[in-house]
Amino acid sequence: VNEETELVERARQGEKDAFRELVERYKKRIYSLSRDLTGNHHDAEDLSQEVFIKAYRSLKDFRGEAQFSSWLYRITVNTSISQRRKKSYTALILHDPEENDRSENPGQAVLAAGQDPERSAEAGLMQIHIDAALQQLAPREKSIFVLRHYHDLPLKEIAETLNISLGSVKSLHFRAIKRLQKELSFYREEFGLEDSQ
Amino acid sequence: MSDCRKCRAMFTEALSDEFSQEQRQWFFDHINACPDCDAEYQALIRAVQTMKQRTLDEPGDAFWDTYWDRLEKKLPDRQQTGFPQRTWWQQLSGRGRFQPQLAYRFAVGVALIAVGVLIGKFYFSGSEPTPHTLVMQAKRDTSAQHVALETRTNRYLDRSKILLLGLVNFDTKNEDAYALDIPYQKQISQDLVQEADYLKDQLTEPSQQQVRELIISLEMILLQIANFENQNDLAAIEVVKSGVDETGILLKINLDMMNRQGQLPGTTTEQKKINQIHI
Repeated sequence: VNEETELVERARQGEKDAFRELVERYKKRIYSLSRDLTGNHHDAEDLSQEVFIKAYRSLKDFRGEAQFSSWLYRITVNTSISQRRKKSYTALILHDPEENDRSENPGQAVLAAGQDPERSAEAGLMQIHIDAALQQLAPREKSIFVLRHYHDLPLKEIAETLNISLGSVKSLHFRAIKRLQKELSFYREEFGLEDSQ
Repeated sequence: MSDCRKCRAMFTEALSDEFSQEQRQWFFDHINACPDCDAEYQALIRAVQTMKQRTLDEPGDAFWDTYWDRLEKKLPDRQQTGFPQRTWWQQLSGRGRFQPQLAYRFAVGVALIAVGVLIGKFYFSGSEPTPHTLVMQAKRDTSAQHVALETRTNRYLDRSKILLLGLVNFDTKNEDAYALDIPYQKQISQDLVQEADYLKDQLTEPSQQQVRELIISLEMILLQIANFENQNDLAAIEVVKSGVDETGILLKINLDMMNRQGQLPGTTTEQKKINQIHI
């Protein structure tokens, strides 16, 4: 941690090599979180790079009150939410009805992707459906679920990272799981996998 | 709270395994004794376990090896990031050598400005202002103050209107409260409450009493927004929405702005008085 504090301080002074070292340390974690939040590789790369650019710009404001990793996580979640808002706005203006239909029912998207049963099996229907279910969550719900279950952050740390109360984290976490349960029920019913759990 | 409700309120802690020993004991005692809670809990566990079966395709080494190179091209310059900047002297003597030409040019520039100021003082400060010019100056000043106050009042009403429209159109049942960004709304409301203090002090003339009262009514609603408790304070949002609805404050703002801009039909002095009575 001390070594990291020193790296952060050097990066704050504008030393690019120190910032590069920080990027090397965190690029996989931030990419992985970005992948969870965006649902695809291309957007995840864009988001993770945007996070590091924002971090570079705002380093002067980082006072070390939170962990550097928590700070990066917060930037990732906030950037993801604002990008999603921009995309929603663009989608609203362009109004692609097909896109709307797909987002309203992930199960149908799964079926469309897997009309050929063999191909569907190869593509890993379950993975597709899990991804689709995750993308159905509201941005904050998704962030909390992902940070808790894919990145193993305790609820309290999530509250600090997202700068919201522990009570809110708990209630959003519960809502996320209930919604996932509902989304996954379609999958279990459609593919007869009720007993596979 | 019944035991079942208490148990369900602990599901999040249970699924995250963030219990105290005592809580854990109580929770599982209840789960073992209550089939309904047990069934609901098991269903939630299944959902989480299914989600945890997710695997991601890792990008290859080539992606990671070139990650920094791609990022570095997009990083802003040092000047754009607010990193500690060099002083003007450091910049002047940058790259380890003093640049006398720049210093001479700077000195000549300062000298020319000083000469200009002296000439201006010599030619234009000779005559004392007459009473007439003083009166005209005072009138101009008062008029300018009026315009500034009018602009500030309009801006205040505009910002309040946009803030309230955002809240009124927010559907607490179907939309995510985080999309509303309550901390930001609170900050704007606090700014507006401060601005209201200033405006109330300045709007003292009889013709300004109508807008002053409007600002006082608005202040009550803005204070409620400024005191929202957290991101999920949906009940408070509903209270504000019904307050806006009951007071018809948005309509009053629109009418007041139209009235002061002379857009209402027949906005003569007499008509303005009539409009004031209606509002």
